[in-house]
Amino acid sequence: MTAHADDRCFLSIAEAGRRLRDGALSPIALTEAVLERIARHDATMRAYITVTGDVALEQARQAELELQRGHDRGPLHGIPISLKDNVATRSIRTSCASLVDPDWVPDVDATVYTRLREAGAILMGKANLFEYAFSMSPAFPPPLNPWNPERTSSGSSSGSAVSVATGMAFGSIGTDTGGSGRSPANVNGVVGVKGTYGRVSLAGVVPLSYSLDHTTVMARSVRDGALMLQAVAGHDPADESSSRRPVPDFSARLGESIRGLRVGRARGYSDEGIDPEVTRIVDAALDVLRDLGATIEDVDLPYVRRCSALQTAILHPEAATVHHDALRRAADRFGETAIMRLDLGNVVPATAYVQAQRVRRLMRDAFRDLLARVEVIVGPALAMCAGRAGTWTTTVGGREIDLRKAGPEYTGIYNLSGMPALVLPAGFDGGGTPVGLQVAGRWFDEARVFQVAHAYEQATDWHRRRPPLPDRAPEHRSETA
Amino acid sequence: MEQREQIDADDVRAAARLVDLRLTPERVDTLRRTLAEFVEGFAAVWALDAGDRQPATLGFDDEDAGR
Repeated sequence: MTAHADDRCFLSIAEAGRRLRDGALSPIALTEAVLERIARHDATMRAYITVTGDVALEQARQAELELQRGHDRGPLHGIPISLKDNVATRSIRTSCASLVDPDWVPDVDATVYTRLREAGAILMGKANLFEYAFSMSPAFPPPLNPWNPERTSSGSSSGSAVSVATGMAFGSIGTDTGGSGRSPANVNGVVGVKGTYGRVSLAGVVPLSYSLDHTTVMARSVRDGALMLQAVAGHDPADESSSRRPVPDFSARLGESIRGLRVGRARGYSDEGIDPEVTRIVDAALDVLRDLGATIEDVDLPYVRRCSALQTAILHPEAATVHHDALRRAADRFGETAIMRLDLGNVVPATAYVQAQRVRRLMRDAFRDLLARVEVIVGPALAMCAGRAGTWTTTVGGREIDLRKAGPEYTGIYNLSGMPALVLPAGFDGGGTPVGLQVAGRWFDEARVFQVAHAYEQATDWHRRRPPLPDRAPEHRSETA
Repeated sequence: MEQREQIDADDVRAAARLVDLRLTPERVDTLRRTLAEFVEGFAAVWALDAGDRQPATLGFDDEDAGR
């Protein structure tokens, strides 16, 4: 593939759309370029579990015909995307990266995929993930981090993030229960967006935790993230948790000044401490926002020190309910960590579950007060820089940190509160791995979150950098981590 | 504060039996440890006063958002 063809794979959705409409680029040529890139890199990168080349080319042919005839489905028409492989796709294998039912072929599409098809998007394939979005899979080796293969690509929506970061998709659908959409965005250098709970349908997405799950989007820029979210947001009668609130134009505030906007700087969150490199990058980002005219005040994230306990008390029993039958008939097909967490979920007392759900409302009330003072809350996505590939740990100041315990506080708090939250690139650690910035906002005010993130993005150039892509996986790397 | 009683393997097996979960000795040992960690960590959540708030049964609906 020529450098020119590779460049096409890294266009923004908006720019690709312009070229598709003025005839400078065709949906078929764009799809072929991305498929060629997948063929060249994905054996190493492992972003995809299933590549849907035939489906993609058929959808591209249809998009080409429609655009030629003036039938314009909107900004995603002819745009290559990927779906996390826990998003049901009719007649296409949906493995959930698990040996429990690895060849499941759904007979219906998830609502998000239906909406993306109606928007004219092109499905390149089903993206790699943690087993059931829960834990590292024993059978599906994780994707490589394209910036540094020695570091984790995180999870659970790692394939989604890596496919977007490497030009093997322009956007992707992920899921996020405690940070599963935003954490991979954070370490792979892309934008990850979790709308307000209820904003995006969960119908047809294999659940992990009924009350914490969110369907998320990823893209290479804030504007592209807004376009992706626009395509999938809105009430879905098939999802009982789906909001009936009207969907605004998420791009409406892009480019608006943030002068005078009140930004809360998230403080005091972690029992485990925070990596000084993360602090440096977040503080530098806040300086950018201050220079753009925002007023910054420190805010304490309410009940953040209880996030890990709350997550465990809610997520694990709900997951154990989802997998109740499978755990009893096919326990030997789950990975070790999944078993550990499902076993715990089976014996967490019901009283603890109920108390945790009551404390969520306590947290909601505290956030409501906090969000009367500030429009958005800005902070890290993760306390730590990306850990070593294939492990759950990282080292900060010589201390070994368990990311399963340290990680959820920054991201998981917004699953517990249901607020919208977005992660975007904000710099690199000393090992050359991306570190992101998280912007969270008021319920159903995603447009404000996009506005602030976009203002930061446009004042920096982190989002314009491309990963080097390793030629092969490190030899010492565990294939089953 | 009164010392909490240790969770032992018999406790774990009994709890698992109630939910029809048959565990290998390794799973019993792991669960004993993770359950003990959970109980210890959750003590601080029990200490929170949620007043008369009801459980957030399915996340947060529009009314919850308070707007």
